[in-house]
This record gives sequence, C-alpha cells and structure tokens, in this order.
Amino acid sequence: MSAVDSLPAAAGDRPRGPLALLRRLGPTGSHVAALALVLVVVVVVASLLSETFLTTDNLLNVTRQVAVLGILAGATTLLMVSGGIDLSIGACASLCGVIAAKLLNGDASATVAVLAVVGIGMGVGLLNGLAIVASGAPPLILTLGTMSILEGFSQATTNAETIPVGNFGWLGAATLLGIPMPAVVAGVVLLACGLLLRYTRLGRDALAIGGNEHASFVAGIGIGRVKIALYVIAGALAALAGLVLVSRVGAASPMGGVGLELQAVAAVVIGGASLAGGRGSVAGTVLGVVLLGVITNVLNLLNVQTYYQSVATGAVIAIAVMSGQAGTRWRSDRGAGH
Amino acid sequence: MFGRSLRRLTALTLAAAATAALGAGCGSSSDDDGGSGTSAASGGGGGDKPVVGFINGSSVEFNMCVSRGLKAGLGDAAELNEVNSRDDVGAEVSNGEDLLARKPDALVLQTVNVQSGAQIVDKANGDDVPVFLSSVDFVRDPSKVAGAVVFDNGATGAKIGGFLAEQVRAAGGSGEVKVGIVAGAPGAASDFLVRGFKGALAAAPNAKVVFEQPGMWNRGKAASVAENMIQAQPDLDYVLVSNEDMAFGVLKSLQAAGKDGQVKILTNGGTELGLRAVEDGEFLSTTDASPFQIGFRTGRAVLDQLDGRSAAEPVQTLPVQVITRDNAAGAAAYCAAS
Repeated sequence: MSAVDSLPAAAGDRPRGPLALLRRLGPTGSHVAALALVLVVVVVVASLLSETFLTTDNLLNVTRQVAVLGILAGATTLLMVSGGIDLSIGACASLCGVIAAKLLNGDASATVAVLAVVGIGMGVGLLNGLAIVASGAPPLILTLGTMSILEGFSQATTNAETIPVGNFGWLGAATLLGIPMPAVVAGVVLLACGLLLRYTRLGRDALAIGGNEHASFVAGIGIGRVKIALYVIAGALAALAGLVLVSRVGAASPMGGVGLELQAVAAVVIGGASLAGGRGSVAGTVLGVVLLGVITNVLNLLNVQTYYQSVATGAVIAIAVMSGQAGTRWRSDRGAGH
Repeated sequence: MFGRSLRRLTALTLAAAATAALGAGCGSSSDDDGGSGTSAASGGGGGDKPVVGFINGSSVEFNMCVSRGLKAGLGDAAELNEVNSRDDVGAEVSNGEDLLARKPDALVLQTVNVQSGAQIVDKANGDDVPVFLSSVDFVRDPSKVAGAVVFDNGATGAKIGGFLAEQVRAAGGSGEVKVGIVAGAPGAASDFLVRGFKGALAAAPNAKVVFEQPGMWNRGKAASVAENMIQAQPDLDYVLVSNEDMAFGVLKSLQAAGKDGQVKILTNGGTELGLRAVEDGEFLSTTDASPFQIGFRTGRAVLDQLDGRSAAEPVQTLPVQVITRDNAAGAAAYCAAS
C-alpha cells in the first residue's frame, strides 16, 4: 500500500463493516484486493488442471523462476510511482552479469565481484538520473538509449558469447530454510522497497512527485535528488538481478536480461501502478509478478502449445488489469462515495 | 530545485561518459577479430579491392561466428562492409537498402526473416548485385541468388532423432521411453530441427514425446522450462534441446533436481564447451554445426564469383554429424578454421 492511499479518513465520517474496509484499502488497495482474487482463481483452476501445480517442489520452482523479475519489478515500482521509468534495467542486469563473470573467472573473490557490479549498476543509475534531471528528457526515451548503449557494451565485452561461471552457485542454486536463495533475495528486496515507499521520506517524496511534480516542488521537495536516488537504487537492483541470473544459470549471457524490463513494467502495471505516477504498491507488484510466473508455470505443466500460451497469458493479463480497475471503481463508487 | 553545481557535475559526467563511449568505439574499430559492427573499411573505401556487403541478422554467438568465418574466407582479397539487423525485420530491409546504395560487388545475407530477405534479394537483383545466402536458403528461384551455404536443420533433427531411436532400440525393452523437447523460438530454424527429430524418432515406436516447450534461445528461460518439465514429467528419459546454450540451462535445472543422471540431454551446436560436456558425459550428444564454416565457405564462394569462376553447386549444404563421446575429437570447430 502506498502512503498516499493510507491517509486516514476524516474523524466522524467513518463507515462501518465492508465499506470501512474498502475505505481503508484505498484505490490501490482495492486494485490489489481484486488482483488477489484473480490470482486465487488462477491458482484454483491451475490446481484442478494439474496435479503437480500445488506440490511444494513446483511452488518453490515458481518462486525461483520469478525471482529475477521480482527484483527488477521492485526497482520499477519505485520509479513508476514517482512518474519515472527505466528501460535499461534489463540491459544493465546483462552487463553487470557479464562483468561479474569476467571478474569471477579472473582472480576476484565473489565479494569483490558483487560489490563491483553493484557499484557499476549504481553508476549506470546515477548517469540515467543525472541525464533525466538535468535535461528534462522523457525517461522512457532516455533509458531506451541507455539500454542500447549497455547492450552494445555487453556484446562488445563478450564478443556476443556466453561466459560460463564456476563457483558462484550460492546465490542462484542454494536454499535458505528450504526456500531458493533467489526467492529469498527477491523477497528481501521487495520488502525493502515496500518499507521504503511506506515509511521513509524518500518513498513519500517519490509518491508525491509522481502525483504532482509541481506541487511537490512548491512544497520544498528536492525533486532532482529524489529522482537521482531512485535511479541509483534501480541500477543497484538491476545489478543484483544480473548476479542472481548469472548464478542461477551458471553463465553470463550478453543478452540474458533483455526483455525483462518490459515484463517488469507489465507486472507493476498489473499490480495497480499508474504509468503517469503517483499510484502503486509493492504488494500489487508482488501479485503481478506471481501472477505472471504462475501463468507461465501452469501452461508449461499442461504442455500447452506456445501459440496458445501467448493467447492465454494475454487474456489473463487483460482480465487481471480490468479486474483491478473494476475494484478501484467499485471502491470509489460505493466505499468512498459521499 | 536543482543547483547549478549539480548541473555542472551532470554536464561533466555526461561529457566524460560520451568521451569514454567514443573512445571505446574508436578502439573497437581497429579490432580485426571483432565480432560486431563494420569489420573493415567503411563505405566503398576499398581502393582496388572488391567490396562485399554483409547483412548479419543478429549479434548472438552463432551469427558472430558466421561473420568471423566470412572474414577468414574473404581474407585480404575483398573489403567487407558489415551491418547488423539485430533480429529486426525492418532494420534488415533498411540495411539492405543502405548497403546496396553503396554499390557493392557482392552481397551476403544472413537473414532475420524470409520475407524481408526476399525483398533484399529482389532489390539486389534489380541493382545487378550478386547475392549469397548464408545458413538458410529461402529463395525458391535459384536464378535469383549467386550461391548459398546452408545447414539443413530438418536433416540435422532427423539425424539426432535417428540416433536416439537407435539408442532406444539398443537398450531393448518395450516400456515407454519419455522424451521432452526444449525448442528455440517458434517459427524459425528450431521448428525444422524439431520436426526432423520427431519424424526420425518414429523409428522407435515406444519412444514418445511427452513435453515440448520453447526456451526462446535463452539459457535462463530454458532452465525455467526444464524445471517445469521435470515437475510435469518426473519419469522423463531424454530431452532434446535446440542449442547448447539452452542445454546448459537445462542441465543446471536437472542437476538441481537430482535428475541429471536420469534424463539424458541431446543437443545441437558443437561449441568447445558443448563438446567438453559430451566428453564429460553431461550431454549424451551434440552436433558439429559450425557457423564458422558457413561463413568461410560463403566467403570463398563470393571470391570465386568475383573471379569469374562459377560454382559447380550454387547451394552447398554443410554436412552435420551427431557427436558423442566416441567421435568428439573429430568434430568441426564451431568458431575457428579447424
């Protein structure tokens, strides 16, 4: 839930029962509740169609499979609530993975490699943020340019070849209390993003800027600093996603993260974030990521032909987004009407 | 809201980044082993040497090895003008127009798409520029092309399927043998490979394809598909993976699930790492489909054409063999002359 959505109702105007719950949920909360309902339906249908779906091993597989997307979606949520976007995070993840592989195959320790590529990711984010703030260029286009630059560097660095990596499996293959490490990392990242949005000044400022940048400026929010900080965080998380990806598959591919940025945007929008900024929640993003992962998983389990997978995935995404919007409208019509 | 000093810092940072990028570009242009971009002197600056245009379809390892082979095949006898379509059909058509506008002495096309490729062939015919196709022969009228050096993916798939059928027959028994397929992207070369594989596998009536999903030529995606495949088909015996990069992702998933001893991997490629995996018993088989040889022989065919020697067979189909532990030492090199 975002800070904007959690403003308390006026004293003496508090409806009771379901209406009170709806009011407390806010528009984003209503969207998330509707999306959760869609996810429950998908899970129920999936478990009826496939005996394997609800097994522990398979559910752990799903968490492992959505982990990289979850990390990138966390970064995208922070940016989108502030009205920003970063299309270069997938390419940044690829480049960071490639650099990590080069370092690990040299004499660098895992710690040095991790710190180095997270630093590089932050540097990329810093450049993105500085360029966007200083030039006023639309982040969609500017980060599209960055994406192309990073892809080019990745391919030039590797000669377009995949680089195998040994002795770096702990981040991608290990488990913690039975939970795959990539899922643990993604969970921590998403939790941190949620706490940042809800309980820190940076998060509240991000929501305020996304809601109304001019009013935020008048209110004294350092818009440039907030935006740059968010892009730096996004860069760091892209690097982390790249590391998890490399560790999971045991190799760094120069194009390994390409395309994930759009999946991340899709997950965040499914989760209720507005493309115009000012609205969104990490809870919604988590549901969006899980929904995408569950659909892919169950269609694979059922061995549905690729072309029909696209049809089914698109249909569920459309239903999820429409259900979320319907939840928001229902809440504004009945729960918050005066 | 955004101080002058920060703007100055931004300008300096962006200027430094731009300088670094230009420096990197200049540095790479002198790299004659380079895997990407224009490989030789640009735009008709070849003096007395004939100029050969090359439209490469992608920047993946396979395509870059075709490029290396082409350079080696042409040697110093011609100037090579290379552009890359980056899997973009529109870019391929534009690249064709751009190269043909420079009036090359010959054009080599590693096409992204049959339709866009056909447009370029027609335009080159109109401009009286001889066209050579690499990897895929998609032109029905042989008089339109001066030559082609290709793989027959269907025949390769049939060889792999025949090899597996033989394995199944040799193992004896009448119980069902379960086979999974992790294909490349649908609608392209992988479809021919899979079709040929299935056709030949029919020779072993008790072998049945029980799972088939695309890995989209992406190691991470293939790893996820394999995780789902193992859940859906825990008794799987064999899996065909359309290229080695994806096969390594599948191997990771099998190892994580403790199934690497049970499920045997058959794949296609012949890279150094792939051959090593065959020798180490990680893959049951691969192939030696050398993109370097495709490029090299195309280069030689172009030189023959420019010297006025017509090839005995305009379309050369490179032989591909199934590689196992027994014959790995004799496999054609993937990205080198021998």
